[in-house]
Amino acid sequence: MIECSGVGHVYAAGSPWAQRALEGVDLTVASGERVVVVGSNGSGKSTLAWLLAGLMKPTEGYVHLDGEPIDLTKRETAISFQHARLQLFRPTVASDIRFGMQLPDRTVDDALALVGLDPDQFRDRKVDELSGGEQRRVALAGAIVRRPRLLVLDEPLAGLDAPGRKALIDMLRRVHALANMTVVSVTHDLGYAALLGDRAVVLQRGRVASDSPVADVVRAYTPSTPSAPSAETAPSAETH
Amino acid sequence: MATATDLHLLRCLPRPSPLHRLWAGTKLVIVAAVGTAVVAKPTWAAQGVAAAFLGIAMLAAHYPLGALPRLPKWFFYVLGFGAFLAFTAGGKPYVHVAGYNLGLNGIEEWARFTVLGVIVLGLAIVLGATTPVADLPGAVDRLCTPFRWLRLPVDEFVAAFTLVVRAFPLILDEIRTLFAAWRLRRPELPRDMGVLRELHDALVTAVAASMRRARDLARAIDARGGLGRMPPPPVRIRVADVVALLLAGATIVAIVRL
Ligand SMILES: Nc1ncnc2c1ncn2[C@@H]1O[C@H](COP(=O)(O)OP(=O)(O)O)[C@@H](O)[C@H]1O
Ligand SMILES: [Mg+2]
Repeated sequence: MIECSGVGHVYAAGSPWAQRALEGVDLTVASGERVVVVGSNGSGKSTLAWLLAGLMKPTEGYVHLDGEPIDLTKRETAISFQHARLQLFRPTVASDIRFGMQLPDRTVDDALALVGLDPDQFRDRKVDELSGGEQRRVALAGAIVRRPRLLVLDEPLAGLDAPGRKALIDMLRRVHALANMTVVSVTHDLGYAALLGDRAVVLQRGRVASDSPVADVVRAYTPSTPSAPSAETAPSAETH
Repeated sequence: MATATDLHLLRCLPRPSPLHRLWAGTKLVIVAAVGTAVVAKPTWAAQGVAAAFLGIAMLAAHYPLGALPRLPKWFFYVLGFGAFLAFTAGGKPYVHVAGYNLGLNGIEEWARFTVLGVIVLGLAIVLGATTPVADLPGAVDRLCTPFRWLRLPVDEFVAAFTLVVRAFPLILDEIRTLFAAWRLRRPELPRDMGVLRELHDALVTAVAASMRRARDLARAIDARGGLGRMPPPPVRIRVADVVALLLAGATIVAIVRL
């Protein structure tokens, strides 16, 4: 179980460039749950993703995984960045998935198949010859073989065409069903929220505006409603 | 924990100050000239003058202490180790402590060059803190005019400089992401040569990612029909610029004379 209590985050705190990204976020995610965080640009989604993955400590409040602060050395969390190339560390697909671990070929092939990449075709491909969507899937395969308890995805659908999006959504369903991981996805696109999670947390200017079953949110923000979160653009400029 | 963004390089202070109002070219010239003078003559007296100049500049910039770059701990460890090595070098002058004859020449040199580094970096930081990054390319373009008369490839240089300045925030962001990814995936084994290979892997990733970024950028530029050369904004020298230049001139004279 992951628990955020009174979480706030200010970048460059104490400097003239201090920038508040999150404020008073209380959020509990049960094991095996699929949550989607929705919000416009600058609403603090990526910041929340980094905090959940344990990559930063919040400047206020705490983020606990099963009652303890997240310890990166335990490898209980994994994250998929929008720019997946930055998380690939080896020249070929199989060697990257294996990075830093001793894994039998079978495990690598299974992970590739799980993310929808044919192992025979992709095992020895160079990561720099892959498309952005394929790189993202390789990064995910590399995350999954580590069996994290929590998988965080920052804008998993960004930059993908329609078939790519569908493949990624199907893949996330499979991963979730098979490994029963807790999956938190972040997206600015309300249209895809229902496909990425069962529960939607709406962020507005760094605060949780609503937390409810995803169907309710999609209904509440149908295009006729002027206050759809994706229509709101102004990032929070407050510093406290 | 200190991260790449905590360095606050090339970030303009949001609160305006007299230095913000100077032309970017004036500040570039002053930093280059005073910096060169003190590097050419790194005596204690010269450094004292340069440090005083830096202090005045920081006051004029309303530079708050919170804006100082936050350096990672290891930086200070390295610095401290350097001091230790310098100390062991010994040399004149000697002091007698508890029956030992200690040579202070090494440590004195180390201190002098450390202070020199701080002064030069400080000048650059004040420049960055009072100048919107977008103003730099135009000023560099203007300042390079004499080189144009010499038929040097100034336009290409300015275009490259513009790209670097524009890409800088992106690069910082990518370094941050790369480092985060590396922390999550770092192999458990190390404490041996493996560390070097890891570092190599991270570097290869950084290079590969930036090549892709550069290629995308190049395509975008081509699609728009090349960079072209925007006429730079006019040079604007005002009274404040003249005052700053005179003060810098006096500082340089003092550095050379002392
Ligand atoms: N590394 C950073 N340094 C300073 N400010 C940042 C940084 N990352 C994000 N911010 C600021 O925090 C706010 C939230 O950003 P972010 O979490 O990236 O939002 P989102 O992912 O929803 O677009 C924005 O105002 C953004 O400018
Ligand atoms: Mg984001």
